[in-house]
Amino acid sequence: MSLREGSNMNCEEARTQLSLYLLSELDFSREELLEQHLDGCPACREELAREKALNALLQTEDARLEVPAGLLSRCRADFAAQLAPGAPEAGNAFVRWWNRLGDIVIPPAALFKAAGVAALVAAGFFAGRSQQRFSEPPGWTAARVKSVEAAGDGQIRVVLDETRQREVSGAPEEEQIQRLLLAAVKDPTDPGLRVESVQMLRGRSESSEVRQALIHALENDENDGVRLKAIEGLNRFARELDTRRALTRVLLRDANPGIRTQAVDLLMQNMAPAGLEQETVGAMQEVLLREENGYIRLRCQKALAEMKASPGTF
Amino acid sequence: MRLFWVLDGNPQAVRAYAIQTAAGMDESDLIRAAQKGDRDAFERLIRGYDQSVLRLAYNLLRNEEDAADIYQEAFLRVHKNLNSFRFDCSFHTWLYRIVTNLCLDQLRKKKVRREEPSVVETSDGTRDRLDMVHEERAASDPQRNVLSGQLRDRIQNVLGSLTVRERMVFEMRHYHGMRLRAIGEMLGTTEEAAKNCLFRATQKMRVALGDFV
Ligand SMILES: [Zn+2]
Repeated sequence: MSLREGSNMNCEEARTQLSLYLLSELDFSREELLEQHLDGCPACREELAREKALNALLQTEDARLEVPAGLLSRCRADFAAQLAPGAPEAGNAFVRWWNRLGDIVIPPAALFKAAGVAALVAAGFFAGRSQQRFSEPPGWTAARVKSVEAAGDGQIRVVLDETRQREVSGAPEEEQIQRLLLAAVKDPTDPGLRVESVQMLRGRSESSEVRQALIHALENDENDGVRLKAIEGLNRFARELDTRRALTRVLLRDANPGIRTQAVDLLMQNMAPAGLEQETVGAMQEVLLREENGYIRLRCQKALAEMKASPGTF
Repeated sequence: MRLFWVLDGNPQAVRAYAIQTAAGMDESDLIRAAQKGDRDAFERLIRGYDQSVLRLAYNLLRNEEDAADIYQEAFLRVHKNLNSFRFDCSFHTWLYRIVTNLCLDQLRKKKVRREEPSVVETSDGTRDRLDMVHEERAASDPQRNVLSGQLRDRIQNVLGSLTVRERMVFEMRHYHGMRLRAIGEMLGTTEEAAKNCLFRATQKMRVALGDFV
């Protein structure tokens, strides 16, 4: 490609690329051409700001229809009923075995003493209505065979590990519910449970324990959905030091550009006077050196420029 | 993996622990276990996705019953066909291919029926479903102002005017964080075609929301 053809982008062309640019969907060379154009064209930079505002608008909660309350649990219950024994296509060997075990119901009190482990919390999946519909009677006991041995008189002794499913419900502000949610947030093998738990906790972030859990999830959870929910929960606290520090680290380290974008936006919207923002400034300077996402670089550049221009006015 | 509630001898001092029953299962372990008929693994596998599947279906179809139907049908298909899942794409892509195809079919049917108005019968007579959603929200948060209602209506109007493919690409890119290449792959088309759909959708959105930004 010759220089004449390839090295310039006019305004008209630039305008068609802005939305893709903000979504990091341009290829390397297009992005470079666009950035060169933006550098020299205030009008297109203004258009970019508008495009960004449009994107922000689309991300507000008003842009979306919220799933009506109860619909998710209804769907789950209906689905569970479809798969339940008796329904067509269900009923493999495991399920039949499982249901026979349902007959051996040990009184809860005995369980408490025997196992030390008291209650298996139904932490979401077949919650609500499905409790009745998912085939197990109340007081249903889950069991796993722990060991088997010959008892000597021709009998076989089977040792079962028993757990009893139990549902706990309460208002979100209740301490017991919060403790269970805080534990569920750390469940290492169940990202779906973590996403839902973070979502339920994020309205409670005025509690410092909840906030710490959200920060921990934001910085450490491997699941993008969990981290996104965590950052949403923290946005009211973007002026607090612990949250800002976490956002700074996320800006530098998170693998997901969408999450880095949210981090930089939150940091920028809540800037303290430059003297108090040394860590943020350092992080943003580092971002300029190695961030590949154009939007994030642009935001950092802007923040740094603003702080130099009027360091005491934020 | 289960969440256990441990009573340390004292019922008042409830402590919740996460106890791992199986050594750290990742998604492919869950899939393999589910393929062997482990229902618990199957539940956990789909619970990682079902909320966002429902949100997708509800936002695309804007109708509670339709969204619920998509949920059932999609996960029944997953259940039925899981054994034929061969790990040649991610489970996420495989699942969303099922879901988006079901949604596209449903949207096409609706277009043929000339986009039935989303009205419901209530004690006050026939009401528009979206208005009711909005009123419920406004009632739960009195500070929510008229502007936000207008914004939502405007966005919903534009979404309603998009072609089914434009709507799908817009939804997947903006609200499910999928890259255009993956969206193209999922819809059986090219990245370029997905890009064009997104571009047209964004144009229409910009025109309709011009005075908000
Ligand atoms: Zn220009």
